[in-house]
Amino acid sequence: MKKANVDKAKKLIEQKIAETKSGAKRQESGKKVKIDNPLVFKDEGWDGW
Amino acid sequence: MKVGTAGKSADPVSNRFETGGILLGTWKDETVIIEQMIHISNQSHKKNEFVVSAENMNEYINRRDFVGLFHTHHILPFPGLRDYLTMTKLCRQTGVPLCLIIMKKHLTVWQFKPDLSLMRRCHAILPANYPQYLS
Repeated sequence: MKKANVDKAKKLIEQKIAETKSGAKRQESGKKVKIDNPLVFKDEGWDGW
Repeated sequence: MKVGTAGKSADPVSNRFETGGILLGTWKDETVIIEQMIHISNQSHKKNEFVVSAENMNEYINRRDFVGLFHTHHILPFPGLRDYLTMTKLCRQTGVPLCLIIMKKHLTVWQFKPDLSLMRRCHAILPANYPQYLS
């Protein structure tokens, strides 16, 4: 693979990582998340895991 | 700080059940900067359980500053199995890192990433007026 292509790929990966970290990815894609069921949180142990 | 309008389940002082809500803010590297902690009415009356309705979640989940959730614990100072499963699923759905703050005597902050099935502790910068009853 050409060095220029490798550099381009590296740059793209770094850009994607930065976007994910900043939370920008979701807005860029415009994808809307819809929650259908209630979220359940429990103060419980990990027995049986 | 915006406080939910629920009945006794939203009362952080006298309530023996869990309370919690939504976290709004930003990520800076591996640290979450919390700008707002919004109490959400607990849909469950069971002890040690905190339930957020789909309606409440849909109100915040697509906001760019949605960074996670928080809730109180009375037994364990770390996420339970259900907490972990709920957060990992939510994280995969949103495709962005999320955090879960567990508030017991002291609070602990846990980070979830969409491409990992692991959770790990991370740092958080809290708003100056975060609930004093938890300090």
